[in-house]
Amino acid sequence: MRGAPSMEIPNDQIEELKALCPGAAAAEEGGKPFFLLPLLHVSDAAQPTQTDALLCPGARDGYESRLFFSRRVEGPKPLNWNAVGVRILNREWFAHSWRVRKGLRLAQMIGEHLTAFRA
Amino acid sequence: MKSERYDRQSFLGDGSQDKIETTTVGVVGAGGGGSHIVQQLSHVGFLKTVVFDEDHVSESNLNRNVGSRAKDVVNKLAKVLVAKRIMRDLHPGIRPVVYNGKWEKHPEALRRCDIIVSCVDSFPARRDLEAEARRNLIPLIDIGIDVHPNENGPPSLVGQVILSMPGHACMQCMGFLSDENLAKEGQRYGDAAGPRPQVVWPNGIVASFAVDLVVDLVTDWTGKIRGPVYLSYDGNRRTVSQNNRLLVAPAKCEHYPLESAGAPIFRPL
Amino acid sequence: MIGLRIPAGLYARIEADLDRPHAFAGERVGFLFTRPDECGTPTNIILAVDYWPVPDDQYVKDYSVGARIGSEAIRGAMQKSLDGSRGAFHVHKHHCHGKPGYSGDDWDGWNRLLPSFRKFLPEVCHGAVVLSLNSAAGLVWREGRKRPLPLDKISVVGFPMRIFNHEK
Repeated sequence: MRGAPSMEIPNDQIEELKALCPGAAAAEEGGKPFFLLPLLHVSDAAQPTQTDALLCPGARDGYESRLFFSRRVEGPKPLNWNAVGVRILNREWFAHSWRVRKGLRLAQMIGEHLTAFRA
Repeated sequence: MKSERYDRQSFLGDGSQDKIETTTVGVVGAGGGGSHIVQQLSHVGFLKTVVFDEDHVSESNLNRNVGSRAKDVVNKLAKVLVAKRIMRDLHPGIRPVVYNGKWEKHPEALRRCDIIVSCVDSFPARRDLEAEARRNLIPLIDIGIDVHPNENGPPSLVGQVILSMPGHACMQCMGFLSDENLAKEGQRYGDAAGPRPQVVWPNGIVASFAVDLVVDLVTDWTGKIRGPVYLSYDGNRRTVSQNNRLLVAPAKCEHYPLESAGAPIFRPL
Repeated sequence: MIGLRIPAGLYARIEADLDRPHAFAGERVGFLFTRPDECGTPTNIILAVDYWPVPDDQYVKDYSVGARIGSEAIRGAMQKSLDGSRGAFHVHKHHCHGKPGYSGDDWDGWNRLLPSFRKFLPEVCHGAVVLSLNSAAGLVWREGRKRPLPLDKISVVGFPMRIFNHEK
């Protein structure tokens, strides 16, 4: 599947993402791909435990990738929510500052972002 | 009102004042740049200006925020209320529409604007606002000023005025927004680098060029705006000139195809 | 306020198409395809993204009206509407200056055509736009409403920018 002019995403990663997040969908804005993850399970230790999320798999604002949530999610650790009420693809999103490694597969990216909410 | 007040701008063409009065201009950011924009638009006769800003007047704003008063600091007056005051002082009969909050909280109000003037203070903010403007087929004029330190000399005072028209080169196409400068700012804010230097006169210069573009877009009085505009202000040399990046920008936008205007299309995987 | 925004390049295509002579029809007809600004809410800003000129051979000879299009043209427009979940706006031109009015024939045509579009794809707005030599006006039929609403503003977005403002 093509991501966007600047990013090609292999089909096997797309299949992994589908398995991880049923109902996942793709869109583009500003030439960048985004993946909508409806009711993503964040963590049993989070409040809420699940919420809509939006994965930006490419570089964004100094991060290798970013995972946005449709609302602030409380976790066991204090987090720096430095993207508050940003508007992407006609919706409001929130993201905490969390750095993950470069070169991860989509499903791995999500997993690493969600470690912020583990006890 | 029309016949005497606007006599001196009749050169803008037949029917120009009607066009001006009925065009809705959104001004995002009512600070150093936005306050100039609101003031000038009001003088020209724009009656439907919509202003967005979540901030209030503070002491450090008084060196540049046009229309702000010392009392406004004491009263912690919202910047949009300063804008409202400017507009009502010139047009007592109108009911200015202002939003004391981020535009993201009022997207339906932004969407109704015919032209947006972006007076925001970060690259990510510009990117997000341009994305919204493109999605809604609204021309956007972006202004900004920056001061860069130099190791061996006085700081560089620079600025830009960019007209981003749907279908045509966007700020990314023009090289003004890039992953590099978006990342740098992300880092900068992460490092709490402190307030940016800002002064009144360059704000006035870029704001005036922006208002010039607004008026010309609405009236087409020069017949000369036929493509994107990217002006660079050099405050040390005192020049405003076309940025050469425009010469290599693509004719058609590579980042916001016109077909993707409107509500986003999510493709199930 | 209900507004329609049309990119300037698209508007130029529409004008060029509607100005072409036809072998027997007095006027030309096309369809403008639109997207809403938001899904699922009453739309106030309608965004035009494509135009389809009715092919020459899909007009019907009827000298009592400016132009009559056949069922093939209607099916074609409906299919294009469905393909992108887009609204369809019937477009034609009156050769006059200023805000164009709507003739009895215009209303007859729309009243025959629009209900089918609304039934076929009810979740988007459909409508009609009439161009003049220096203006444009139009109507939109919204879901749940019998009578159309006027487009208060039609904006041609590009170079030069033109706003046909009909707000009271």
